[in-house]
Amino acid sequence: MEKMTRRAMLWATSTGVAALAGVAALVSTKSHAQAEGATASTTGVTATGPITAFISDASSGKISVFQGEREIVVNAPDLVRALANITR
Amino acid sequence: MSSHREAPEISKDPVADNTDTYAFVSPDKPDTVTFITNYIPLEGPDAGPNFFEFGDDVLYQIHIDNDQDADSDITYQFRFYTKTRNPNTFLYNTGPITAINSPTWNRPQFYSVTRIDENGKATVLGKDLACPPCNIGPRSTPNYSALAQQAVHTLADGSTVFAGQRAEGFYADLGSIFDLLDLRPFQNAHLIPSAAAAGVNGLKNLNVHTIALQVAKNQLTSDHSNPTDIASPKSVIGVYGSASRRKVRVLDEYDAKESGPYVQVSRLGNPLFNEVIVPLGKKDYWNRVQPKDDAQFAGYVANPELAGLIPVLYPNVFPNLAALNASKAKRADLLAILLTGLPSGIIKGFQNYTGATQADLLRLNMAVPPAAPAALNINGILGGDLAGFPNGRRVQDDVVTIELRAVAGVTYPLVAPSYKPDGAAAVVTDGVTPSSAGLTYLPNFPYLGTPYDGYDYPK
Repeated sequence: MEKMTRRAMLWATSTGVAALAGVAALVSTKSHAQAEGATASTTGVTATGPITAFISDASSGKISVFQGEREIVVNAPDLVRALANITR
Repeated sequence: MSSHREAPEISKDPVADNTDTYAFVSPDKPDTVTFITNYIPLEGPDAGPNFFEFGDDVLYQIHIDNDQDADSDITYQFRFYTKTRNPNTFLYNTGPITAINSPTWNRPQFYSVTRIDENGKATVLGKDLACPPCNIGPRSTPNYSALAQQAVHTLADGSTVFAGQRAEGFYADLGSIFDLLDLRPFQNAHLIPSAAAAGVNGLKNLNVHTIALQVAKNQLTSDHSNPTDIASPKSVIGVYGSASRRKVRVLDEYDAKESGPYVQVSRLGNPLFNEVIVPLGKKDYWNRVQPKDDAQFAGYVANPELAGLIPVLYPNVFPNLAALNASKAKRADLLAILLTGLPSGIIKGFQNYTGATQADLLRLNMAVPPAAPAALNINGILGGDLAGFPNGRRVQDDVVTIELRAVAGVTYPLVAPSYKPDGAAAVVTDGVTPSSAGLTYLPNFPYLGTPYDGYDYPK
């Protein structure tokens, strides 16, 4: 059996996969709220601690979301576009 | 320096700067191995009012490979937190600190120790462990040695740990070395000559922050056996220390918020590796990389820049080294010493080979017994003492001289017996030793000496 490294453990745990899905949903919700120009409701948001989003290259459509000790990279071109538009 | 401020980025981040890593069979408890990783270079003893402390936002780790793949099988993690007992004073201490839990110490620091095994299972071995305060002076920290002894803790698995300030044990003539590789005892032969002189310890009377851990040998081997056979691969471990920071840090008005995974910002296996082997443009990157991926740096070991500089800066003193450099032959001796360990058959009765994966690891053959104090040679294996560097590294070992002589060609005959080193290669040194520098080490854990106090030092 291949040795399981700590990094591999982090990627392989079901917790990480679930968190990825959760953040993707969060991203989707926020994107929708941004698109409607509405004041976003925080009802149902369960993440604790700060959440930081980082876009290295807006043209890639990818966004890194940091929460706790995790980094989740999602492909969210609509959200990236919306955020980029704020900086104009 | 061994690895003090050795790369541009980490030189601006002292609390995460891994300055030295040591691993040796404990001389007073030879059934154990002691690991020491030091941080915060060049601590002035009088640096108040905010005296030095570990970073609460830094993950400190000691990594151990025990199955010859250069990847960590055992990792010890150290996480710190600090309290401010009285926020309404500028004082580090509001009276004499006479005990580790003295309420007059205004900035007590505590930490946890977690062991991660080869399957990723984490076990907390201790938490809320107290550090000692810094050594302030006779009014604030009277009887400091006894105070620091209270900060030696026994962990849940029987290991012993200490985290706090110590006297800097590393020694080197920084001022001359970084002045175009001048070596004062030999500077009469330098390209820009001056009269020969005694070496000067550039780290004189300075302190450092130490994490020291003493672990039973049978907790370090892959099959939990006691290593007794020097020839057995199971007797050898590869070690490195590291410091990591969270990937994201956002500064608020009063605070900083951090998130994301930890990213390694400093590491250290062999002393001086990043300092003098890795070129400036790759030093910060090297600190990010794991040792198992070090093959990409092997070219800098095979043909080190320093070996090319020595004959130029000391004209006509190293003709054989100059010829070796001109031949473009790969320095298989240095590749073995620094990146794979020495296989059996190179040095009689010794090996510290950790497999073909090239990695900057400090390699310790735990079956080699510690040298008796009278037999300890600070030149380690070069001095005929198999218990010293590069078989692990002890606090006294003269790693600057050892590596200088190795790079100058004294170890090349190990792989090319017909090569004759220059006469100077066996005697070249920066001229600083523990005795010339007046350094004292402790005979037992944590081995590094009592830190210099801020009232009496500098002087």
